[in-house]
Amino acid sequence: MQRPTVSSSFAGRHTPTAAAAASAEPELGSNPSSSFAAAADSSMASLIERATSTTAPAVDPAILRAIKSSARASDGAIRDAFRLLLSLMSKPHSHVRLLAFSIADELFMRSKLFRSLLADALDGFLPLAVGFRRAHPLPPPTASAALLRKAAVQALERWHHLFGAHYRQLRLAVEYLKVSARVQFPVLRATVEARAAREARTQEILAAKVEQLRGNLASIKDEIRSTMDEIRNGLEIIRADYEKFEGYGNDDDAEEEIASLSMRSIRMASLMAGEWVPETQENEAVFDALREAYRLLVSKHLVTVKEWISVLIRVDLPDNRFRDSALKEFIDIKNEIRAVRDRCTELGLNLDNVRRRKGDQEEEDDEFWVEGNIEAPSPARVQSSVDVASTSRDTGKGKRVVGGEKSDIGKSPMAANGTRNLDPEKSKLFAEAPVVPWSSVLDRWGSSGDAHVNQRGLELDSHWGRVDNDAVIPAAKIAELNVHSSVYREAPVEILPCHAPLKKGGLCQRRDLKVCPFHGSIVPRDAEGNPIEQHGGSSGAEVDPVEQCDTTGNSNELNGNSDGDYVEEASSSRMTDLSNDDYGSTVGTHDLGKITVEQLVRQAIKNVRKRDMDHKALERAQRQRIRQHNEDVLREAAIASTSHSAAAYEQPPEARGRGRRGKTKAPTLASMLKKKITTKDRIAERLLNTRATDATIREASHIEDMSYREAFPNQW
Amino acid sequence: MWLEEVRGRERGELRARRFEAAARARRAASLALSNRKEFATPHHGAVSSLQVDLTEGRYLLSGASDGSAAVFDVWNATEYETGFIAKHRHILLVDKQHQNGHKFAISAAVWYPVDTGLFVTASFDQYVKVWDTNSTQVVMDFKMPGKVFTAAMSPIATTHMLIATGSADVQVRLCDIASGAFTHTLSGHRDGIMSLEWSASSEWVLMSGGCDGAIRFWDIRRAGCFRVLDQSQSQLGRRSPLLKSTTENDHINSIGPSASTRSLAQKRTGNSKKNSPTMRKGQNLIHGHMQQRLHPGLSSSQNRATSHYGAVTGLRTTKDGMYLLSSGSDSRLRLWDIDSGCNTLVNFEAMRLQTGKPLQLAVTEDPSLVFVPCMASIKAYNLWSGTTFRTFRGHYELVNCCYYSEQDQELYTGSNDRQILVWSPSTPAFTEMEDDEKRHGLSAADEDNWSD
Repeated sequence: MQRPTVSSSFAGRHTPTAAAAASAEPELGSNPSSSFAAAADSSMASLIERATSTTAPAVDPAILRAIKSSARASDGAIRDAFRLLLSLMSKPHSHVRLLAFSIADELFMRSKLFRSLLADALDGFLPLAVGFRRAHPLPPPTASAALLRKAAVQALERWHHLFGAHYRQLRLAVEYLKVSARVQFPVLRATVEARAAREARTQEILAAKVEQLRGNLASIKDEIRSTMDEIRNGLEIIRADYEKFEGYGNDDDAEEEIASLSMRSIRMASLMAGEWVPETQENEAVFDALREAYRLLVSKHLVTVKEWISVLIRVDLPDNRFRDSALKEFIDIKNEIRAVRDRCTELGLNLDNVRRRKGDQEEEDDEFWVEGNIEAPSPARVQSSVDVASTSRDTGKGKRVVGGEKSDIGKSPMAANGTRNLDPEKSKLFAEAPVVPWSSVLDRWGSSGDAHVNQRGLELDSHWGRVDNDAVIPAAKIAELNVHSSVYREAPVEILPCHAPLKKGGLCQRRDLKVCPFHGSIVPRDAEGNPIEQHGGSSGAEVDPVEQCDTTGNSNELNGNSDGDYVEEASSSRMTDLSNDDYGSTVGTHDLGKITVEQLVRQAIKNVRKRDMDHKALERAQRQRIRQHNEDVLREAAIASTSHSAAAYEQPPEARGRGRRGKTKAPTLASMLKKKITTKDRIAERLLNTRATDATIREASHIEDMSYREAFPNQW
Repeated sequence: MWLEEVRGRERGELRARRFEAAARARRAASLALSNRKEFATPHHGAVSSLQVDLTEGRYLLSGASDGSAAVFDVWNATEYETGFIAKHRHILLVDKQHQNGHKFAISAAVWYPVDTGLFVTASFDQYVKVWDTNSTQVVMDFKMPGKVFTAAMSPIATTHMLIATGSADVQVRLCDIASGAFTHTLSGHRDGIMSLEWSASSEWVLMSGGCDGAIRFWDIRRAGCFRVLDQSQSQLGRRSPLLKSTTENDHINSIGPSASTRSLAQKRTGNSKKNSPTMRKGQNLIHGHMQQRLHPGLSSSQNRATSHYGAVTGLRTTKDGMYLLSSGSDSRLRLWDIDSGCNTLVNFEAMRLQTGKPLQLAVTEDPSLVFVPCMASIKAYNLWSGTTFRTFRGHYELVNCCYYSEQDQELYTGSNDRQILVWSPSTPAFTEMEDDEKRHGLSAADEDNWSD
């Protein structure tokens, strides 16, 4: 087979391991079923040897069965097994230990003799399995080590639970690991039991609830339906009223409120856009009823429906027919409620806020008490009432601001602007007013009085100790607090493009501050790219940047004032600092012989480039071939390995033999020890000192435990 | 065999003492980690000292490195877990929260040998405190010049109540409970004293092992130490050779007033006084007759003989007071003949011992076995042959102390993993019977379970 050299070395490097694997595995592969018929071969030593010399994640069940049956046969076999397993557990390979431990676990659960043997040696056995001694951590393959540790801790807890009463050593080990070595034990058992109990209790409660529901499902439905009907009717009425109202025109109140025509048009537009129906004296009653019904619907009915749905989903009844039907009905009801609610919000009825209306009235009542009576917590209202407070206009104005806001919060500034625009003087001032970013300073813009500490009117009595409601902040302090600061922002500087002419046409569009890496320092240029201060357009105007460098270099060489060891593939970066000024000077001095020299040089360069290109292409093709071959090899290896584990028995023996001898690289125990360093490892290595590493390992194992617990709640 | 002995006893062929000794020995030989009995440790640190009271043999006193000392009832369990596991909780605990509690680790906790009304704790906070057991109050305390490593009271004393204390200071101090003062300051060691042991045969003789590797014998009625054990001075066998003893009278003169040779020693007291300086001079002067104008007690302080390379970490006499066992930081265990002061050259098999801490050894009463804390395990050696009889494994960290209770033939061990383990004679027949009764209450029976 013709191979590129690289791949042959690649294959050759792996032959020893492949051979080792081949020597380790053949018996395993050649015995497809559990019939380890070769009686001579079924001694405990060879069985355990075979079981633990694989890289498989678990012991082959067939071998395990053979081990168990031969262990059952005689006490001597168990003693042999114990001795062997103990020696295997001390191997510096976590995977071997893992397999040995799983066999030991099987035997421990079954044989009393094995139990007593292992209990006596438990103090030597455990450090090898759990690796809790700092001086002797578990050996290399970290994945296996983690598995081993987890398996050991779990097995130990199981042993302790089952046989702890009979073996002081087990109790001692568990206590030592828990208390002194601080090994995290999965408290799976306790949690599982607790969870089961909790589950049963909730199921009971849920079942009772469903029984209750069975009785009053109809009444619940009726109630909800009636509320929804009420809302629908209310909406209809409002709708009808409004149409009437529109046709009848603007009443006086509105006239008074909306002083200007432009304001009114804006307002009308906004109203139309939102399909919003204003609340007036006439339809107030309807609104109230609507609000109440809406509140009932959202805060009570929707919640109950949701609760019932969750109850029905969680409940586990023997007869699910009622549950299904009820669930379906509830889901329908929920959708209906949602539809009604959406319709309300769509109409812009801000029905959520029931207090709002009441608040308005209160405000009107308490109009005389102007300063600092901010009742409602909503920010919009705070703003508006502050406005009221500071400007202290007449009531009409205050009302208007509030009214304008009621339409839409977003509209309010515009409305305010509209009113301000009326005053020509004000508009003039407005034009020259500085624009400052919004801050709390604006709240008190221009006012120089004292301010109450408790500006918001919060009732702090008996919350934070004694409260002085009349406490004021002196004006000087406020001024101090309001000192305006802003972050300096640099004026953006426009960086001019280089604009040097390119060979392929066009101008260089690089924007560098001072020096373009290709064309030297940036100088002002005209439309063709010629420097404005510099005289005469040079012939190198169309030169490609790199080539330009080369020519410059060449001219340098010809000039004789530069170093003689000029290489043609000199990097452009090296040349950049020289290029432009040199260029200018050489161009000036060597005007005469320039054409010929330059042409020669260019030709030479072209030749060299061409050769270079050919070389590169060749190389690329070569690399492509190698890569192709490597892929082939890898694919074959992959196919071979899968067939080895999964479909080895179906394959004809000669095919398998060839595969093993040839390219199959079955993983070996030794290969597991080789550390695969990933980027993460490297970063972790660098970042963490030893203590941190320990902490992360503990954390990781803990997380693993947690995830295991989540994944297999019924096993432990 | 057991029945055989019973029958022999019935027929009167077997003396009562022999019968008893055989039973004890058999039980001692079958020690194993007890599943039926466990102490719930209240300590949060390494258990460094254990002792069962000498009067009743019922209360176990433990001292731990978190400054706590606890008393357990060895006989009566506070509760039974899963029907048959006797759990012994502490019936008394003094720790740092106690108003007079020790601030630092307790290095030794010993019972007052006469009754259980008092116990003594020695701590690294440089205090030795005497506690009233019933009121758990400190009745007396002694301030020492350094960390106190060990404290000991003579188990056979009838005429004095002295607490011998060894500290980081070079002097052994004897604290008198009766007067509340130091009565003796025994100087001679060149480094701190790690271990102390009163003779089991004479209430006046105290043995001390120091960090300088020397073991010194003190007669508290006289000034100075009267013997320094030398590891190079050895004899073969358990007894000092008879022939040698006749020829080397000088040698035997140095015998302290031990039970077996008391009459002899008393006869030769005058002689011994005269000759002692010559032999104390050490190595090559045993036969020399160089007279020195030195006080006989003081002269011994110039003897630089060592019994261990490094510190002597533990001392234990046998019950009969004839032999002394010493452990050193050179990981050696040596058996000394107290009579002759010679190393008996028993080669205890390879062991590895803790070096920086006082160790508490234990010997069975016959004496046939010695229990030595060897790192995380306890090894039982045959006292006369030095062969390993058994290794007790069960602790997860270094073992500091062990105590063999003669009365129950139980071994208690304390370790850095805070546990106090009970090793009791295994009685399989008894276990089986009780198992059958209790089986119903158990989560899983301990028997084979082959499903496939």
